[in-house]
Amino acid sequence: MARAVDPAELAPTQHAWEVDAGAVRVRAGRRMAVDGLDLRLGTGVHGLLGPNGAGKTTLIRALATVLRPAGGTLELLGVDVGGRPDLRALRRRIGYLPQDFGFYKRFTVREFVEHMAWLKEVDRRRVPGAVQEALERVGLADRAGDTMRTLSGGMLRRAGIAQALVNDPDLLLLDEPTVGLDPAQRLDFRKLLRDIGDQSCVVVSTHLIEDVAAACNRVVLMHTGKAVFQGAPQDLVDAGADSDLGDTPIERGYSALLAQHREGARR
Amino acid sequence: MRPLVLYLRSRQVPLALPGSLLAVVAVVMTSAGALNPQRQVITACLAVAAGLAVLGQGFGGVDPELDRTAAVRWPPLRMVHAGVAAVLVGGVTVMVSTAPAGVVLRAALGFVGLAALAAALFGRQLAWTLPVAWALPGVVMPPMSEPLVVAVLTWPVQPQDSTPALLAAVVLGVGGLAVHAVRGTP
Repeated sequence: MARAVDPAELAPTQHAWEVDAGAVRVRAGRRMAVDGLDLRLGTGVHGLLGPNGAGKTTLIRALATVLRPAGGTLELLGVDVGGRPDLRALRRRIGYLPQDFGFYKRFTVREFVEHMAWLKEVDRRRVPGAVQEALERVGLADRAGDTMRTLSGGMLRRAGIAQALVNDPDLLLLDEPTVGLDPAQRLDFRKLLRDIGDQSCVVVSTHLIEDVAAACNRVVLMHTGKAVFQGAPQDLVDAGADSDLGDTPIERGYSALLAQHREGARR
Repeated sequence: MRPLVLYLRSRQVPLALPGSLLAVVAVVMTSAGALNPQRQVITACLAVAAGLAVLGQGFGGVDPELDRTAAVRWPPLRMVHAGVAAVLVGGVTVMVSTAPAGVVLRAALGFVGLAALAAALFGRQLAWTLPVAWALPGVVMPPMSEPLVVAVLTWPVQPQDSTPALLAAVVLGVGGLAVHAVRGTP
């Protein structure tokens, strides 16, 4: 659908990185779940890997402006969130899918995404088109009139992805988006990620290493609140040897890097 | 208009509003025909607390995390939402009860603050706790004006011209609404 181009969209970006973190620390309850993390992410799809408890969800929540950093610096889309910036302007440009999300069960899928578009202050004239486009991108357009409570787990996940896309975000944060998707849907989803990553910075946390290999340009491996590896998926593959744990080359690379880091931490 | 309708539905207002007004009328009815004016006051306060307890579960969204990342300006929206709830419950109670209007409106202000505070502290599902908890002492204790602690504790059922009761209602009302407007629900 054709739409008017907002001058803001054509303005040159003033920042080098969509996400720029320097020794950032973020608390999850009492624990410092992200502890001195350095990270620079630009346009593209970034896979966030790591064992449970590594701090992936806490990092994503900080990137989503849910949590405020307890220390270090964090700049999102050129805005320093450590000061007291106008978070509303920033939040209009961020899309976020939490690991679990709640919703009003009597909403239809379209109403749910439309309500989220309003929360993200999408221009009122653009809302119907933006909602339809988001639903089409996740393959839910044919279920748009069904109520949320009738959806299966995989469809709910896709509705969640649709709400994260509806404001056409410059920074898209997806916490375990592929849980509950069947193999065909995962293939579609990877393609969707690659499409969005052409223009935006996408951060995807996942336990499914093969998703990272297939859809991500960059990989960030987290362990105990720090980024212990950043590179291309191929670098992750190269880090592994046949003797390492795993069934695929990239799994072996993942195991090798984690083992190295654990050993380094013990010493 | 449609965003407003979706917002109200997401806060379950279409279901809660009739339920709340029904609760007000039902509580007031329990003292219908009773001649003791203090009983009318107690009943009216319970009615206001019950009505706001029901509407209080709409003082937060289903997913606080998604709400927190929203771009809309929350504080005025929360303030208007809770304020309208207080006006509706207070107004209906004034209409159906024989208690003095000043007492009812004072109760509406204090109890909406308590409901908003409970929503901000414990989450929207527990918004009813503080209004209900603070409505009960007034039922079991006589409305003594001395000592001051008792007067403040039983502020809802104090006489219309009681200064400590009015101050208590204003502090709870304004404070609760402000905390909720700024913090939202956990």
